[in-house]
Amino acid sequence: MNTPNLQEKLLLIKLKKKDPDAFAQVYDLYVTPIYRFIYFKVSSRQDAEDLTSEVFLKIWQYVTESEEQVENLRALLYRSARNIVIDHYRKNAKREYVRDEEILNNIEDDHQQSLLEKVDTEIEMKGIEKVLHKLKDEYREILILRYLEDLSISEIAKILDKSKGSVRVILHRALKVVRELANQNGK
Amino acid sequence: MENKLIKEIKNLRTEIKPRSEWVSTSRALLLQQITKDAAPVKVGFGSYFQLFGQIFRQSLLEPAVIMLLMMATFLGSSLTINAAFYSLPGEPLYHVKLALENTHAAMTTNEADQVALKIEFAQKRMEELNKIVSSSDLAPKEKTEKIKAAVAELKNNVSSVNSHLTKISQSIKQTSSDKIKNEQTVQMALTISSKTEELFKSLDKKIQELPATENSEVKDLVAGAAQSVQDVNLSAQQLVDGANQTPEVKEGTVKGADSENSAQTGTVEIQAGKATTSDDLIIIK
Repeated sequence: MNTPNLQEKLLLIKLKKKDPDAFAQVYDLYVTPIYRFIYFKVSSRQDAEDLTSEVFLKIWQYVTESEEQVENLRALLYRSARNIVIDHYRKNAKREYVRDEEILNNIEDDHQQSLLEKVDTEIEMKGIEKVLHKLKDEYREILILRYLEDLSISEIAKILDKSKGSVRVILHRALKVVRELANQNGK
Repeated sequence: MENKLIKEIKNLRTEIKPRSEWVSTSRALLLQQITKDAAPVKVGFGSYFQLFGQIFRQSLLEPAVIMLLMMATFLGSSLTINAAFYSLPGEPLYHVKLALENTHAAMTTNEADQVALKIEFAQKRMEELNKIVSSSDLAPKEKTEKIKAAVAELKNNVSSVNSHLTKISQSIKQTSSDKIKNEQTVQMALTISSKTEELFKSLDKKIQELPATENSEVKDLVAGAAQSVQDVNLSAQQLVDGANQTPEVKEGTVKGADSENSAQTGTVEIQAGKATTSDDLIIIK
């Protein structure tokens, strides 16, 4: 699953022709990896699910409406996932700013719920997952793409819009940090 | 440690998964939403053709283009070298030919091999000179220029041989005891001598063959080159003589040593005789 294969190319052509079956196949193929990718970025299962659905809807709209030729569907999916997560954080940041005043009046609001949910998830986490969550996003993202999703360096470079060389450097640094953190955790 | 960590990351695949009920609900919802948007268009033959073209371009054409480019570069450079090999003075590729020869000589570390190469280059210049002189397509002025260039290059090669010979003769004086090296030098000097003799004869013949219309400057140049060749011939012969003299002296010494040895052997025999006698004496005792 390292290079866009024939099946993926065929699916892209069918998607372009607005074929729902092709969309269903793309969903079945990529829903789990995209969910995992987002999960490590948002740390809440609920948010990860919502954002994953949004990614597939965006992909459908992009492929069917855009005139641009898509070379690599998988890279496009991960890129969209990244952008959607960024948008999600931007929206949340705005919401949190508005709610700063309300928070004192209504302590049991959604925000508190989401915080509690996050704390629960943190407690559930153990071992390497906990270590990954401690990493900065750039390192975590690259480790997940490389080792959890088995993507090639060139595919990661396309997704992250970086050169292959810098991907290799970040990967090396990320592994070093993981090693240090794992040692601290007494692994 | 690193491998263990990577393995643990990979193991997360089984641990982190979306809820199966959410996967199916979300799938149904999304499909419902997209089918509302637009009716599907059937994928026609043209689309498959487009796909085939894309795959062909990516997997076959791109490597083929790279291969073709590599072949073109290789063929182009071989053709250039080949064309340069047959070029004559005054032609654009002649400088390439000289540069290639210089590179070849620079890559040769052995002094004797370098001399052999320079002689070979001088012979090539002679061939070029022959071609230029016998060529009927050239205008007299152009011909003169080309002869001048070839002769000048020949002189360069010959003088370079001479400087190499001087170096070799100096090194022989320093390592006169190395018999094998001396023999090799004699062999090389003999080859140079015969080749330079051939070159001299050819140049001499060329002076005779030069048309009467050719100006005296060219004739003088060829005669100068012939003189240089003769000088090298002389140096080579001197080197042969010098190298032969050293072992001769050594041989004399060796012969003396041999006679000494034989004298010594005689002594030993006498001494042995004595010993025998003394032994006999001992026995008698």
